[in-house]
Amino acid sequence: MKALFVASATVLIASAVGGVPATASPKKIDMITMTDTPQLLEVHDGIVAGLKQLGYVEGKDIQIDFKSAQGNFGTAQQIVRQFVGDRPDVIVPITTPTSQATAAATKDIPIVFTTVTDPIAAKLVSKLDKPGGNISGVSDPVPIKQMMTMIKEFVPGLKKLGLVYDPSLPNSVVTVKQIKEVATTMGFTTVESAAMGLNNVPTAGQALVGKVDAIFVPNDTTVYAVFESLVKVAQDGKVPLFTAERRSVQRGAIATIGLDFVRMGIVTAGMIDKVLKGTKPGDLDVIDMAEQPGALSLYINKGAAEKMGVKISPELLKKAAEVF
Amino acid sequence: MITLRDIAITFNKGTPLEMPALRDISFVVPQGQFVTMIGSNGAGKSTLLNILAGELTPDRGLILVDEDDVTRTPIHVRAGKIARLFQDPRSGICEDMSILENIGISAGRTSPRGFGFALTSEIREKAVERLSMLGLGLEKRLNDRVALLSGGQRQALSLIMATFGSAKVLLLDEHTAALDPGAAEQVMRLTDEVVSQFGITTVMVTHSMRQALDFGSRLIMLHQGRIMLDIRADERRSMRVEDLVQLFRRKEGQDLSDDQLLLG
Amino acid sequence: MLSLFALVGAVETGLVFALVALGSYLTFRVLDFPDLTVEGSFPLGAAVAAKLMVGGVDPWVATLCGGLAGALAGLVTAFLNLKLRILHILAGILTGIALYSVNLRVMSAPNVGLLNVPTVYSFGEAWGIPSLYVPLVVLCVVIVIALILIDLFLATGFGLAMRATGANSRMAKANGINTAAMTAAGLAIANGLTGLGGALFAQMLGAADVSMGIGVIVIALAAVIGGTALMPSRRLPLLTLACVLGSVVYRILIAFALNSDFVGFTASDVNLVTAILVVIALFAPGRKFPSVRIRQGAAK
Repeated sequence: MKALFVASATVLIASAVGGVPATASPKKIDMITMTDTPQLLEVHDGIVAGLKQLGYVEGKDIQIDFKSAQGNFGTAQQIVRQFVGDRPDVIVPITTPTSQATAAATKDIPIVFTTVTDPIAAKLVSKLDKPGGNISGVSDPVPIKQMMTMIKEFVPGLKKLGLVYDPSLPNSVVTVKQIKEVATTMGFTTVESAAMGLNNVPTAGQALVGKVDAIFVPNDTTVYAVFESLVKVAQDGKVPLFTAERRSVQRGAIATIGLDFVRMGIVTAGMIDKVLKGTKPGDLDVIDMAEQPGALSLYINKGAAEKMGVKISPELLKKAAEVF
Repeated sequence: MITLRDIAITFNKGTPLEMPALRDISFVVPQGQFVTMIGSNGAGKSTLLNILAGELTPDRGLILVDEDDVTRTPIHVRAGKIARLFQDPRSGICEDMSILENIGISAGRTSPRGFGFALTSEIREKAVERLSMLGLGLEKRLNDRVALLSGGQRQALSLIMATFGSAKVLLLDEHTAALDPGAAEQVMRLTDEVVSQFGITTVMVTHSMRQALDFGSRLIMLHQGRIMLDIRADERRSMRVEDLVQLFRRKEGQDLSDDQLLLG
Repeated sequence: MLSLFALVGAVETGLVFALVALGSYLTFRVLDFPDLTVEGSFPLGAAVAAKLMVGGVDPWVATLCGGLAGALAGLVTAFLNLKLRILHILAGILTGIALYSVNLRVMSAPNVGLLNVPTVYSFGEAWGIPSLYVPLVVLCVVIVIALILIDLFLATGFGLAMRATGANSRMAKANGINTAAMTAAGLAIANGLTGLGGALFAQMLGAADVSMGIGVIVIALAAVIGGTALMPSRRLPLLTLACVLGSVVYRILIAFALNSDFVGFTASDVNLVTAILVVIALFAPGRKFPSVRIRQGAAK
């Protein structure tokens, strides 16, 4: 047994060391995500598509290495270390924890983060305009005022808004805090229902039925992962359900304005392009998805609205960029 | 040395299985005496031993060891005064640890366990000295794991461990019952030697009337939770098993029906 | 090709988790108490340290406080098991679950960034050590100190009493050992080490995150089992060293697995690799292992 172990260890080390390093020509893009929920994979797809649109050919001009830490911080740390050792042309961390780990691991390799709701709170950058250093990226804050106004258009008598989210996700916590801040000025109060993990999402939703006039879900990868279960709860309880991005409206929420994870990926690709062409990330402003063109497009799911007992006026339907 | 006063305990009180295991047990064991205790199944001897050791708390009554009231004292506190050997040779030792380590554990019995090294040369010397008394060669195998020892050797080791830490009382809970006859005899002989050498007050519960008569200087027989016979040295000397049986019949008006007790 | 960065990164991560492995060795092996509190005490150490550091406290002090917080968590589990008679495995799970909410409270957020506060690794810049090696240096020192202290401790009367508690609690009690106190002390020490590890890891990661504890126990056990399998010994100092080595080797193997250019492993296979390693370690023929029988352990 011991001999077998030594032998296999030798083989492993030999093949690792003997591997031929790739020659410098294709630019290396190393991407890491904390978990591979569908939402985050859409960002990845958007980046790939965006880069293709910009004329990059995978394998010739660029080489993308995409890894998921499977929710494990130890693995994330090692992936980041491995990337840094790779000396790629840019590292693209998706979501806050991986961005923090990357920023901690290198001060000279260019970093373009994406899907971070509040980069300043995460201590990734100290300001959004030309943050300086080797790091910048794309943030996806929810346009709170516009979002709440939209909800009120569908539910005019909104007095209590339920919030279903995973309190372990920094992005969600930030959004929830922001909603609470504007709630009183907009004439409603909030009721929070925390879902600690995928399995608790339906329960979190059920806890709100009968207590609120509508439910809103921030960009929460946990809830989105099992979104259909929440849709069912909302339909059964006839509680209007709204979310913060487009795909989940397709999946059964009534409406949202703005965010599309694929588009965020494409926008990120634009920033990556600039970095590959030589601009330092620190000289690029952090891109706020809410300020992008089309960011405030209205997406509506008519069928969902009917199932949840909400009537949509024809004018509202006309305003929509897309109706599912 | 040991005083028991009005000790009583009932199991499963208030249920159909209610059983008064001990009723008003009172006796005194002077310093240095070796008492053997017998009784048929259910007589209460194990229960009494468990109460003395601290694994059971009596419903009523008082236990004094060396003038201190230990009736409700937790086992590990009582262990400073009372050492115990179990019937199962595996119970009294940590078999994955070495002989020396086991002795180290027992050596800390009466002194607080601090941050000094556990296995000092002092303890090692003492271990060699005491183990040599057994004549089993264990003093040459200090670093062997106890798992390698036979049942008899383990009980012998436990015996020596009991002499560490200046415990004044030794409780023997049928400690040879699980050994083969040869080992049992050897361990009993060693018990006798060790106990007399160190002058330890000893209470030995045994299932064998033969053993109860051959060893010790006082015999107590329990029956249905009470002390039925309490025979001192001089009376005992000439007794044989049949004599005991007769004595029982006279007192109780019935025959002893426990085969193991008679034949063991 | 496994770069120097990846290798050093693997060793560093291995050393941090070695603290958790040592803690798990004390609970699972010495005390025979399957303690799952670590899933909560690891991020607790991180949370407490992070909160203090962001508040301006010296990073070393903050790290030690993280360790102390972990120790407290261990005492909670001890209380649940010893006083409330909750089964040991359940007691640890309950504390771990509760700590999730506690950690959120401590940080007032699920995540506290540490990228712009001085950490225990910051001195490296001032001394001119390349930042890649600083954690390695710090962690080596920490682990060596931890190993020495643990090995010395296990050789004392106190340590021997703790070992007896785990080996045969009935015998321990009969020999004057307060097994309850031993169990509590062991849980405190083990979770203190874990909390320390959490604090050190957060500073490496650039943030304390409430989800950091997920999967930690499996890693710790893989290290303990794997390490003691690679280096079977009866001598305690070698066994504790084996746990450290097990953790480091495990991380190096993961680094190879992540290097998906060959063999076809990806990061998603890490869990499978872990499971396979543990199975091999437990059942490889011809090796003598401390088996995982249920003995008359500490927590009755």
